[in-house]
Amino acid sequence: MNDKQLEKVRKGDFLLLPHYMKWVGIIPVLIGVMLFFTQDYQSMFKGKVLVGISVNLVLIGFLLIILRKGKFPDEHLLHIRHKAMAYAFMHGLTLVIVVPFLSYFAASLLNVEMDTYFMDFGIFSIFIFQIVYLINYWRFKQDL
Amino acid sequence: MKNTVHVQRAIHKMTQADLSEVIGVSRQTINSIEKNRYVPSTVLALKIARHFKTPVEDIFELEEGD
Repeated sequence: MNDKQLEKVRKGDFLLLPHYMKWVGIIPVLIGVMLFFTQDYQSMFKGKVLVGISVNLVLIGFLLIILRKGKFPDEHLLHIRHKAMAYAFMHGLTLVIVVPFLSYFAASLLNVEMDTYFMDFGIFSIFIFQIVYLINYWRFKQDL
Repeated sequence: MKNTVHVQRAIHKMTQADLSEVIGVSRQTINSIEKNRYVPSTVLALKIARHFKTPVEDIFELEEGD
């Protein structure tokens, strides 16, 4: 690894997507959200397939946004990225543990079957981590 | 840790943008350092000191609680 590559690693702009991927990532998120709210829930098969597609589109979009480089990647932005990841881990883990319990409690109160409105736990966890990361990244960037 | 980057910048008649370009970081990073919101790495601190031709201790100084 030469000096230039080491400098890149130090700045944290290695293996990251270009900055414009932010805009590319927003497209699947918007399509996913639109699909989620406009689908025909009466048709169970079609509904389930479309829920899967829309949720995955949102996750892929968020992933593209998260993995993009900053406009000007430097050590401060890398520091912010690390801090946001740490917060996403702490807050995300807490939410992932707490929310299913609360939901189970709410479902038992409302006499609703859990399967009818819960998405897959793995997808739910990834979604929470992504959302918490993006919120914290944006929040820390505001302090720049 | 407090610093005198803004003083050094004024002495050398440089803007934050000028310094950021020379050092290779964003202008926001220089602003955060000056406002004590971000403590730079040793590499960055040394780069700033080298640019101003001053010992790093003259620019960055430990505070009581550090």
